[in-house]
Parts: sequence; structure tokens; C-alpha cells
Amino acid sequence: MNEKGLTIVEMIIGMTISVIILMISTSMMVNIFYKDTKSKQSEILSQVKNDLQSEITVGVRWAETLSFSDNELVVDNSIYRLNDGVIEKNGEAITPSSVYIEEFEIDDFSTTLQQKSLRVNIAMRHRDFSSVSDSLEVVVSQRKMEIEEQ
Amino acid sequence: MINKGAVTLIYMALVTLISVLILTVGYSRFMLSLRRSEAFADTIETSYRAESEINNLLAQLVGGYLTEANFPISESMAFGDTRVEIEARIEDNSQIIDVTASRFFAVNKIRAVRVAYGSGFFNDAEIIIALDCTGSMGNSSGSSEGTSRLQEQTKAVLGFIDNLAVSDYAGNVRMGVAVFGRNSNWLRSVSGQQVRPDAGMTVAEVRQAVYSGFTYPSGSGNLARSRSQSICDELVEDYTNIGAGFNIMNNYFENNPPPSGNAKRVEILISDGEPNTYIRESVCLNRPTCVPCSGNSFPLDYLKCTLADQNTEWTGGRTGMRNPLVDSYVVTVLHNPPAAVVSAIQTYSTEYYNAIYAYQLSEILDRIFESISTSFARTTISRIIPISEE
Amino acid sequence: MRKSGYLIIEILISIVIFMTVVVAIFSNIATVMVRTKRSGLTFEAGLLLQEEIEATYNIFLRDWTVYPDGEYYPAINTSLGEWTLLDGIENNVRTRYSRKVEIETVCRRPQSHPDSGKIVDCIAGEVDLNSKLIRGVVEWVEKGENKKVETEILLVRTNI
Repeated sequence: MNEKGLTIVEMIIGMTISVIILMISTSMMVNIFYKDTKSKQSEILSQVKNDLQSEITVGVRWAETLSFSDNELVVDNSIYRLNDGVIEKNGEAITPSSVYIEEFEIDDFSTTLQQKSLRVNIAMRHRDFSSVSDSLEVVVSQRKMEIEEQ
Repeated sequence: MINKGAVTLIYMALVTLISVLILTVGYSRFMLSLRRSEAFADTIETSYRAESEINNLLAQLVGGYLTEANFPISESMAFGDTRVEIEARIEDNSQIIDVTASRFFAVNKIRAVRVAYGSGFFNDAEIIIALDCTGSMGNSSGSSEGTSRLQEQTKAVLGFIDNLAVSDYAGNVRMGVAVFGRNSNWLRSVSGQQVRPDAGMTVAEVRQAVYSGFTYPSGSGNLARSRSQSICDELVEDYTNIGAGFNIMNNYFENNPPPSGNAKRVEILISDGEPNTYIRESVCLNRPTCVPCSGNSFPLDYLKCTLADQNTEWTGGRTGMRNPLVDSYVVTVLHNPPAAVVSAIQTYSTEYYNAIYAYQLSEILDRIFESISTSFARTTISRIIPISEE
Repeated sequence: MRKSGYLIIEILISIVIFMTVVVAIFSNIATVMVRTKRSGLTFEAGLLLQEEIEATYNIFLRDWTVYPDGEYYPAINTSLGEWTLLDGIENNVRTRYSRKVEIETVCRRPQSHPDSGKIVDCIAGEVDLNSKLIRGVVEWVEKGENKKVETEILLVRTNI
């Protein structure tokens, strides 16, 4: 009789104890290895910064035609514009709706007239948690793509 | 009635499953931010590495270290964790170079297409040099030999002319030498002839004119130390009007058609000072849209107007007087060049050099000569979106 | 009595198996972490590094011959509205970073050499006026540890 079977109660107790031990140890593990846990909201802002940085850098660096004005950057056939807290590329949003872009400012500090060197400043905050904010400053220079040797 | 062995197995499975699920949640957020910063670092490395490799090849082609005989090129190399592949080939008469740099999180591919025309492209050259004839050229050049700036300028120019004499151009180059101070004028040979490109003088005759004008006594072995010892005194007034130097050269180029369609036209100006005067000129250029540079109140503006080319605005609505096909090389001898002058010259000239001491002039003129005489080519660089091979 | 004994044993076995799985997973993380040592500050350092390289690229498009070898940092000349390089190292960038760009002359084996064009020490080769090596470094201190990010780019003269 003692060989056969467990009662349901024993199973439940066993599982419960196992799971409790598990949860304690895994949360300890996660805390040890991920001490710099940022809040989920600031994680989203970090991701947006990363995406914008690479989009702007690659676009401007290899642009054949480049122009800009307040809140707008035109790279070849792509128009990046700040519209109601969202950055749009040719009318389509490239930043998530949970993020509010406050500023999209562009300056040109180039030493030459033919190639531009832009500094792009973007300020953003989380729409629902407005105290969570971040900013991005990207500097990128248009490459000289035609070289004449004489 | 469940078998104990089976129950143990079920426990094991459940425990593992639940632990993996809990771990995944915390782990994935960590890995995402880790991956993001890794990806950024990787893109920086690969993009600059790819550009470096393309630039490295182009520099070797331009400098003559690599020629078409070295093509095709196929190379793989590693810089730490960055893998680089270079493929270069000749197609029609173009050199096509592809460089791909890859790391774990990023790939960058750049292509350069270079079309070379070879040095036979131009048959003729017209070169005018404008020399500084102001009083300050009598000051020390900064060399340990105790020479004056005028002496170093003369040495440098004679060296340039000597390079020219042994080059491919020697037979079909037309040279002119001008001087400037408050106004500008052409150098004169001993016989009184103006040293203009259309005077029909050989390179040797031009050299002789420079030599006799800038030695004291004239024609002796001693270089003239100052303005008063040289021909400067007879030709131009003192005061520094750099714009006058450009004016006389650009005026010549505008009013005298080139000897042939492929003629290379170059102007070189040397000065040691800041522009402190300008000159009123009513001479207009022989072209429909005449924009004289007179009427400016500021010497710096006059400099900009005479140096900038006709496609470039140097101030709102006004373009310069230089023909864009004329290459303009400017050399200043200034210990602390004033930023506005440097900026103006850098912006509107083809190439600008600064010698902190006048004795560096010879080396700079050598470089200018090299710059003028290398062969002609055009390179186009573009980034290629790598196509995933999966 | 034996039933209770089995239950405890089962729990112990579960924990042992669990720990084995955990160790297997986390040894992977530990390796990655030890190798990379990255943090949230690294992104900003990377941006500063990109800024100095990009500014230098633009400056050299026009001022190829102006800067002798040495350490510089980029700054904006406000009166002219353009980038320029200033001598030395820039400290206290965004309060915690320091950065510089190093400009270095490039020397190559001469054309007569079988390895013509290969980049070598300047004692062994000749100066290539059409190339320049730009090295960018950004350093900071984080939790007592010195950290840095660096990269380099070789530029070719474009206004030949």
C-alpha cells in the first residue's frame, strides 16, 4: 500500500514547495545578474533612441541629396517629419505611439558647401509616464561620394 | 494509483518548465538591452572599417602604389572580431572595388568605382604665380639660416620652376609671374618684357626673370633680402592687398582664351600678411554677366570676391570672379593665421596651405607641383545594402 | 512513514535537477557578461565617439593640410557656425566622459618595394600625403572601473 501512489494532497504540497523555492531562487538570480534593471518605459525610450540613431546615421551619411528645415529632414526620397509627437517617414510613423517626441531639431556645422554635417537633437518622453524622458544627439556627416582627381 | 517513478518524472518536467519560463522573462529583457548596445558598437566598427578599407585602396591607386596590373584583387582579413572582404576588378575602363565588413551584429558594404583618364588628357598648362612684394617680406623667415621671407619665397619659386622644367609639361607649359603689394603688376624680365603666359617665354626664360628680379645685385648669386633690394619697389606699392594678386591672375584667365581646349589652368599665390587694403578697379571682365569686385569697403571682402569662383556666392547675391575651371592654390606664411582670413581662403580656394615659417614654402610648392601633375580620374563611392544570404 | 520520506527525496531531486539546468543557462550569461562589460552608459559614449569621428571627417574635407599629427577634440566655432579641431583632450564631456581624436600620418612602402603601398611605420616607409589615420577614443569611469570605447578610420584625400 505504501508503494502505490501518492495522494493528491502530497502532490500538491510537493509542487507548491518546489515552486516557491524556484521563484525565490530565480528572482534572486535575475536580480544578481540584472542589477541595472530599468523600468519598462525607459527601455522603450532606449530602443527608440537606438532605432532613430541608426536610421539617421545611415541615411545622412550616404545621402545624395540632403536638406532640412524646422522639424523636417529630407534624405534622398525620404522625408522625416515630426508630426504630433511622432516622427514620420514619408507619412508613416517610425516611432511607437507610446512615445511622445517633443523635439526634432537639426543644425548644419559643415565646413564645406557641398557636403553637410548635421547635428540632430531629439527629445522624447513616455506618453503615459511623462516623467520618464530621454534625449538623443546624433552627429553625422554626409560623405563625399564623387571624388575628382586632377 | 500512479507509479512513483512517473510522478518523479512529472515533477522534474514541471520544475524545469516553470523555471525556464520564469528565467526567460527576466533574461530576455537583459539580453535585449545587451544586444542593443552590442549592435550599436558593432555598427560603428563595421561602418568605419569598411570606409577605411575602401579609402586605403583608393589612396594607393591615387598615389600610384597600386595600378591596374594589380587587379583583380580578392582578399579576406580580420581586425579583431571584424571580418573584411575586398573584391576589386576592372570592368570596361572602370576600377570597381567592393569592401564588406562584418561583425556579429552588423554588416556594411561599400563600393567605389574609379574611372581613370590618364595624364595624356591635358596637353597644355598655364600657370601663374603671384608673389608677395610687401615690406613685411623683409622680416625673418624663421629658419636657422637667418633668411628673410622674400628670400625663402624666391627659393621656393625657383624650385617650383625647376620641377616644371624637368616634368612632362616642360615643352607645353606657359608660365606667368605677377607681384602684388597695394596693387598688382606683372614681373618684368631684364629686357623689360612682362612675364605673362602669353608672352611666349620658355620656362628657362621665366626662371631667368625671377632670378634677376629677386637677386641683389640683380643677376648675382645673392637673393634679395627685402622689397627695396628687389624689383618689387619698381613694380608695386607697399601695403597688403591680397585681392590684387588674385585680380591680376583671374583677369588674365578671363580675358585670354586658353591655348587649347584641354589646357589646365592654375594660379598660385603666396603671401605673408593679412589683407589690409583693397583697390578700386573699374576693369570689368569680358563676359556677359560682369561683376566687378570694386566698391567693397573691406579688404577681406575684396579678397573673397577675387578668389571665389563664378559659381560660388561669397556674400548674398554676389559670386566671385574666378573661372571655376582655374585651380587656385593659396599659401600663407602666418604664425597665427586669423580665423576669418583662413576661413575665407579655405572656402573659396581649390587648396590652401599654411607655412608657419617661410622656410617651409619650398616643401609646400613641391606638394602643389605634385598635386597639379598627377593624372586625372573620377571616383564614385556608394553604400550597398547587403543582401542576406539566408 | 515511507511516503513522507519519498516526498522529501523527490523535492531534493527536483532542486538538484533545477540547479543543474540553472547553472547550464547562467554559465552562458556569465561568459557573455564577463566578455562585454557593457552598460547603459556605453550607448552615450558611442554617440560621442561617432560625433568626433563624423566632425573630423567633415573638417578634413576642406582642411586636409591644416592639422599636424597630435591629439585634438572637436568643437563648434560659433562665429563661423562650423566644426573645428582644438588641441588636446576634452574632459568633462556630459560631466563624466573624456574624449580625443588622434591624427596620425600614414606611411607606406615605396613603389619600388615588392609590398608597394602597404602601411608601415614611418621609419620604414614614405609619407603618403593622400591618407590620414584618425583614431577616436572616449573614456569614462563607471563604478570604479575605467571604461573606454574607441574606433579608427583611414581617410583619403578628396580634394585632389
